[in-house]
Amino acid sequence: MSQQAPIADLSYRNYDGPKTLETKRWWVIARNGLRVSFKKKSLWVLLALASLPYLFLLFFLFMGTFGGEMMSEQLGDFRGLMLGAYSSAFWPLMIALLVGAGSIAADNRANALQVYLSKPVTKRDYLVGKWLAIFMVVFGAYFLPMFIVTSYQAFDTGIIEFMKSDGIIFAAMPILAAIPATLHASLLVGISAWNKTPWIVGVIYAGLYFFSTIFANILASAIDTTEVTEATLRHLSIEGLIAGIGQFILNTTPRSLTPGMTVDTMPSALPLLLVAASLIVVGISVARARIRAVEVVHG
Amino acid sequence: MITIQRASRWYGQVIGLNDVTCDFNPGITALLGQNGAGKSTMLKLITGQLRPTTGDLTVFGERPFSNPKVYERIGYCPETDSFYEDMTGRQFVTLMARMAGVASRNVDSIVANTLEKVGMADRCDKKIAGYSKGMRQRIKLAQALTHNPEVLILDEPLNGLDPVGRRELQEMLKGLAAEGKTIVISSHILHEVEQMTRHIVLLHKGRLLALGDVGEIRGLIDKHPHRVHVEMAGAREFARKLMVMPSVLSVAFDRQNPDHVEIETAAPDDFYSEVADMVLTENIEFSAFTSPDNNLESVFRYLVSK
Repeated sequence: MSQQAPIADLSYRNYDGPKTLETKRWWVIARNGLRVSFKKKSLWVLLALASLPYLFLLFFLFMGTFGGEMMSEQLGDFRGLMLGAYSSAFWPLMIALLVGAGSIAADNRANALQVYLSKPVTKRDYLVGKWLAIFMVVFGAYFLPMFIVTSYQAFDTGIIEFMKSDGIIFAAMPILAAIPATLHASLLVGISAWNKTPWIVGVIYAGLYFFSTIFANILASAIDTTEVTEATLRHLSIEGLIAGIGQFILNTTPRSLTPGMTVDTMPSALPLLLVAASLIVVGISVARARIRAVEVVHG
Repeated sequence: MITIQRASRWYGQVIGLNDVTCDFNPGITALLGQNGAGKSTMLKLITGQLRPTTGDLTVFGERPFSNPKVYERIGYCPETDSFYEDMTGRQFVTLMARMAGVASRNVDSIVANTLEKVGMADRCDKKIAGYSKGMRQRIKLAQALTHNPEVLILDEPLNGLDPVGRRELQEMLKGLAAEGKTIVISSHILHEVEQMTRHIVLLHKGRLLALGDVGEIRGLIDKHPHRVHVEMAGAREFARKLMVMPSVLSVAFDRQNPDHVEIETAAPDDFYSEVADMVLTENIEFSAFTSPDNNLESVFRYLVSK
């Protein structure tokens, strides 16, 4: 029987328990980012809106089961249709802005880095945690609806038959979801690290996103060149990179459920991959250069 | 614990800390100085948020800059309110505890315990946005304490606390110091600091001005002789006896209060010893016997204005 004093000692006891490994500290930051994001009701609304293209596709696939020849012909290119839904990038962009614009900017505004970086957390842990929180939400926004629609189609057409014709989609889905998630997360942490106001980060990134799309289209129209080069130039924007690399991965062009809204020329993969990789590196490097606990004044 | 060797920190062409050498050991040390004296710079150097431009600074024998091993053993309470406003106090302290490495299975009880200790147990589930300055101070303290650090760095921890809160914090810090923790407190509230410690590090315009026990430092300030204020019946008779003492420099009377006398001495230890002998042999009774400038406030004023 253990020795116990007649009156229990209820005074403060210092923590002398185990401490988690340093390598897990980034996960604490990522998990907190996810918790903060999923507490926002607007995120759930945006997630629902981002799934709409896939829900429409699912609806048409379902209707196609009872539809005539014309409908089944329209739904024949499942990969193209999936890519069409995947290329609808507006709502995922809004999701990225909602979860990413304030990720570091809010900490800058609150001077929270002073406290965060006084804990046994390295700059790398902090950056990885913040990056991962954005990445996981955007990844989920792409991956889940894709997975549901693809699974439905696989069961509807028969697993074996589907795997023969479109089985690559199952393997490609994580990569497809990772491309926009990586691009958005890397660029947003880069811009967010340099700001103290989340809405300004949102405006800058949205501006960059849409301006790059307009610029790429003008560039492609202005230069008289081959169809492939023109298609490549047209994809030299954040939105275009996501769609273009998606085409390369699924080896098809996006198709729409609306007749006539199809693109037939695929862009070259290499320039798009190089530009995407450069943007990712620049975004992360810029964030890493800026993240510090104190404001250093240069006199 | 903390060793600073000729450390300087420049911000571009502005110097924040200039060639400072000192040590911080277990117990409470007050880091004092006017605005811009370099207190916050020194704290940021100790907590590894800045690197000295020249010189060296070690905590537990290691350089703290970008060194998480050192941060595990440090608790830092910054001057600014560094929070997510839409988090509750409990959520914030829990996050900080997890970042400090407190194991998941222990974190809830440890956080509850710490919040209880800083007097926030009943208000910790409200959003920080609605907290008063005092409540924010308590939450900042809680996040610095959760992982049981060996070194506590507190930047203006008394700001915004009510008198009861200050007293509670003082008692808590004294308790932690008695456990062997090294506590560095930067503060402007000198009389409150004085109730916690007599050991000071005084900075002025980025330079180290004084270091050590307040009493010892006071004794070394020759320019301002030590003043002793006495109230008693027969003050003039007592003053006459004092005049023969070699330690006494001057005696002054108050025209309004004939029972009051103020003595200036250059050797306070000798003076107190001689007066004690006189009190015992001649059975003298005092109504009051105080030293108005033997406190931190005076030491600070004398050193900074010299």
